[in-house]
Amino acid sequence: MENKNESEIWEKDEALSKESKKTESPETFETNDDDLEKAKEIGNEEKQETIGKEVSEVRTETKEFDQFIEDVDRFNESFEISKTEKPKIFDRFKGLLSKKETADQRDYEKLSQDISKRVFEYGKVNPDILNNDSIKEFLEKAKEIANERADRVDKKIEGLNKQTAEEIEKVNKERPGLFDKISERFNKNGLEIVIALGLLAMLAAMPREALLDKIASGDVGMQINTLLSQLNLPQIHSFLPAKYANLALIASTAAVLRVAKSDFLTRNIKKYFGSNDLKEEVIQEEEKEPKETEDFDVSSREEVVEKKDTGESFNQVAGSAEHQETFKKYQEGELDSKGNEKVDDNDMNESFNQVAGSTEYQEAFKKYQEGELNSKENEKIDDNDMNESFNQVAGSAEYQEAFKKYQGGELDDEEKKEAGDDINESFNQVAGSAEYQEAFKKYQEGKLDNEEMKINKEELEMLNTLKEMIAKGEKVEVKYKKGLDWEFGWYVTDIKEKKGKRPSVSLKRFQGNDAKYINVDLSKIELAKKKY
Amino acid sequence: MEKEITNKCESIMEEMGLSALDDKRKQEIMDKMVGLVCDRIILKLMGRISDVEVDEANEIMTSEDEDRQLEFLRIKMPDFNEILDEEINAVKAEILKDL
Repeated sequence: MENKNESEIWEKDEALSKESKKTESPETFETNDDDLEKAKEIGNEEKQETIGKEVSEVRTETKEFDQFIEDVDRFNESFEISKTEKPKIFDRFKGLLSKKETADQRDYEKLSQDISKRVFEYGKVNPDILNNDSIKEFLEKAKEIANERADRVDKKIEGLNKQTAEEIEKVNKERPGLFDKISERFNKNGLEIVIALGLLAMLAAMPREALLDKIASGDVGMQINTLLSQLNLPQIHSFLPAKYANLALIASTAAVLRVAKSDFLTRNIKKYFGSNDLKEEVIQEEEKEPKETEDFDVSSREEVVEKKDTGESFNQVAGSAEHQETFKKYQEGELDSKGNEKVDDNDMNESFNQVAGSTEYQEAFKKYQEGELNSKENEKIDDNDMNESFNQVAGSAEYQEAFKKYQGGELDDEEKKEAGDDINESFNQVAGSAEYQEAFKKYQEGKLDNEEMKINKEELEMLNTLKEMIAKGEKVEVKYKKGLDWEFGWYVTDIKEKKGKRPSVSLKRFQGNDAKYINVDLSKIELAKKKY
Repeated sequence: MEKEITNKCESIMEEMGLSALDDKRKQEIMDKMVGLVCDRIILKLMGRISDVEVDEANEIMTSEDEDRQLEFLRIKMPDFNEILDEEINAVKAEILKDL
């Protein structure tokens, strides 16, 4: 299949290149040269100068491309010499760059960065590549290119900063000192961190499974993984230093509760980024918590959990207009709940318990079961496939068991200590417990005592592609997620689908004269030729 | 830890075509972007403070009452997340434009 697929891709590239050749013109130089001649003839010095400059720039650029093509040739040779699989991507770039008149400086820069990324990827499989002189030289060059580009990014930011500074100056004249005061407040209360997180999350789009793996392998622990999947900005944890881990917990708890994130964050951030006194206050509040937690009638919730679609129900209810109303009532102290006497606005565990245990919540839950919930909200939540893993785990009998144990004080002690500093203690106790970890492991392995494991859209697309390729008799190369790294060189030998289970894939990899076989969950693989 | 953070920021830098940059430089760029977005959000907030509220805002921000300060920010920016998204997108688009 090497090559059907690849040749198809290249054909497409070829076609695209031809297309852009038509529009972008190999005639550019000629036209400029002609214009330059004409300008000389008519003695238009200004035009002469402009056109001359353009021609010179384009020629410099062309020279760089020529150099780059030579580099790519050398790299390809290096790969052949090292007897490793030759990354076809180099050929593709070479093909594109050969049509230098259709490429521009940005393509060149982008491609050099892409290639360097690929070199590092191959370097993980074949570390010798990174010792190759040509490769070293290339990586240095790619670094230089990135630095040049970074200088331009810097200039852009400087320009934007200048504009912003002018606006700040203007408001400072009208309202002296206020901007600085608010700015100081932002920094002190961690809102700057929130902004950083938002920025990272917005920019760092990544596939769901890669994201979950990344989060799961983080410093703070797997329990946050499932919580964060409730949040539309789940990436945040993967970028957080450990000292800010609580922020992720706050944010994710807020999402679980479907409380407006901004409200929640602004009310709680100070506890974690403010003074020590405030932190102590939080801890003291947490120590009071078990009494309130006991008020959570888990048995009634458990009973309905057995009946519901565990993959969606909580979110459906929590996201519904009815639940929002309930939550509002809770905030206003009007909740018809036996636990509502001890309402503490800052204790999010309590609020969840109060809401979840209330008759209003049960009513909303009943409505959900009967399909009567606010449909608009439901649609919104259905789209968020990030909720899936959490829901699968949280709705499972294993999780419920862990939660029950937590209530009975029977959870794994070691994990309990670790979770002791968190505001949403009870959930973390459960999520951090050995029982929960077991449930999560089962979820990952598709063994959860639960309803059918759903696969997300991306996985479904990949599954269909795999089936198609296998049906056509193609050799399907995939990369296999092993820890944090991707291992290339695995081939799909079979796809196993059983009702009620996530599909698994049998893989084979050659190791010298032997072959290694493994069975993995669909989430652990990606097509090797998937676009990067 | 800084190295870890910057490593994890790889995808952002990649989007900007800066993946081959060293970690320190990546972090510098991230910090600058954060500062810029932060200033722009505060400017938006300032625009929502009316003339009659300026004295109150000054008083609240100068006081040590963090609850009041946060409450003030919350009331003035109930749509904080939306503004954050808008500003981030705007900054990102402006940086990438004709880069």
